[in-house]
Amino acid sequence: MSPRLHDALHELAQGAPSEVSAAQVLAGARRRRRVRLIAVPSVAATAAAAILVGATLAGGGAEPARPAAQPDRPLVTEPGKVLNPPGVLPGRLPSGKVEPIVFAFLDYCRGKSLKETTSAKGDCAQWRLVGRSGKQWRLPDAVGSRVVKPEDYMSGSAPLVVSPDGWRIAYYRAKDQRLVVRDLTSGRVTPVSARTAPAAIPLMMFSGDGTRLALSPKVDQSGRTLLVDTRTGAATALHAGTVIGLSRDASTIVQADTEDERTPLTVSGADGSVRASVPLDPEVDLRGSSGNLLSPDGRTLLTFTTSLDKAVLVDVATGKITSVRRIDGVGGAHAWTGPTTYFTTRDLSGHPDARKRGIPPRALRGVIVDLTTGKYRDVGRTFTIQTSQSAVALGGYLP
Amino acid sequence: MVRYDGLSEFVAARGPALLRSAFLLTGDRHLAEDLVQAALVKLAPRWRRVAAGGDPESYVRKILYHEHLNWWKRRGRHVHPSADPPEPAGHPDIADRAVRTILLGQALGRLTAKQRAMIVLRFYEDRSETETARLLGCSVGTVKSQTHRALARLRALEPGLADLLTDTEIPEVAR
Repeated sequence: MSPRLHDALHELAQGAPSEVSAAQVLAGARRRRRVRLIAVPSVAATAAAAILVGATLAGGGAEPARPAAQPDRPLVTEPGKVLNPPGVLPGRLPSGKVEPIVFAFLDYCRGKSLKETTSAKGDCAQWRLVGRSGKQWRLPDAVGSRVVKPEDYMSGSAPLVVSPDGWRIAYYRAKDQRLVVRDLTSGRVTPVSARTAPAAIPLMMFSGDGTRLALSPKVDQSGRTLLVDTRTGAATALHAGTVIGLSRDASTIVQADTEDERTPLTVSGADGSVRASVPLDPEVDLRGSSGNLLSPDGRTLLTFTTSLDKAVLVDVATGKITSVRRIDGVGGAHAWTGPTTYFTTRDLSGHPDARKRGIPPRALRGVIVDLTTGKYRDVGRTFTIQTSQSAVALGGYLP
Repeated sequence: MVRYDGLSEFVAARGPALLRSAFLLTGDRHLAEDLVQAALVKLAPRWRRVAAGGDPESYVRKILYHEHLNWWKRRGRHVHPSADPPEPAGHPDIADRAVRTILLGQALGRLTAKQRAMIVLRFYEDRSETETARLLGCSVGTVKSQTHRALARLRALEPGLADLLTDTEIPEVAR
């Protein structure tokens, strides 16, 4: 053991609250007991309602954009300011053309504790979208914050992803519980043909050109891996496994078992046919990786060392490491942006008096990393939200 | 009340220690309170049986760690903790114990939930690898590898903490 680390942890732990209310624990236990007694019939009724909704709204195909109703006003945030000032909500996303989206977030109604974030509901619990110009809207038809189950004391969320060019978003639509892709150049909404249960919403990844959306079941969930044509909603089944990379046009798809690198990479085409099974160099670490790791030409995977301080490039054809490059200041990757560059974020969270303000801010800035030099440059604006819990998505980093 | 006989006394006696572990896991006072309360509420229905077994603290700690990990699973990959302590500008004097404590809290907040659990169990609660594996429901090998990764990431995130971490290496999994 390390006595010094133990002592430092001990000092840190002194900041903990000093007592637990036994009365609250007992009250919670009694409430939980009551909820358990009524939960079964409630859940059955909810399931029946969900089936009914599903049956009446079944069907696919793109839905044309509706004529714009009286548009709500977007919230315009000056650079450097907090995107979610208290008591102010942006208007609804217009139904027609908007502008490329560069950032999306959930702030769980700015709840200060888990109890508050768990009960987040209403307009403030919706996803909020920030456009390239700094205008901000909320997305009322998406599921945003949600309570995972009746007894759950933690809040959850339904994911949203933004395409690299910012012109498409994919999210879980509330009214019919379907994944949909919204084209922001027209407002056209295309449901994904394969249905997804609320409890099993997959990981989503856009191809570089936004024409395809890969859906991978989460590690602890079952489900098929699919490639969706974002223009039609048609889904093609892929080999089982997590999609870790799509080439720019999704003509090459790479899948892996991110929990076990001994499993070979699977390389497929857009039609789902497996082209190759490639053993991975044992030095490559895929655990915890996220984002589109495949280069636009489909030939190179971008991975990182465990400590995230070096980028490790892997030849997809051989599974061998071709290059290791030290990266200064940022770790991880969202997606490639060119033959030798990729996009990721820099965490700028924190403010000297954050604690005094009650809710700490979370701040992010996009960066482009140049693999030839290992240096990064900032792009766009800093996204700052005042929240104790958040979900965020970035996009629009390609022109 | 017979159902919960003795639970209040247990909460009063062991609550503070549970809060300290929960605070290290979550990095936030509110979250720590919620986490401990949730674990104790889950303990309550089984209280009589668990108390009769003679070691309710082990039981509730197991719930606590599992709740912590489940929370992160539910929130999904794309959700990031935002309750991190602020990042100071520049390079503060690491010799200052208060600064060091803040930096350690910051770095812990940027580990995965499982890695944080490993650090807290192994280096705060001084649990053995076997005990840690039993509490988290994983193999001893996982404990070793996750602990190694957690320490490596702490070093990478905050080189100024190297002094604290010099004697923590786990040779079995170092590579």
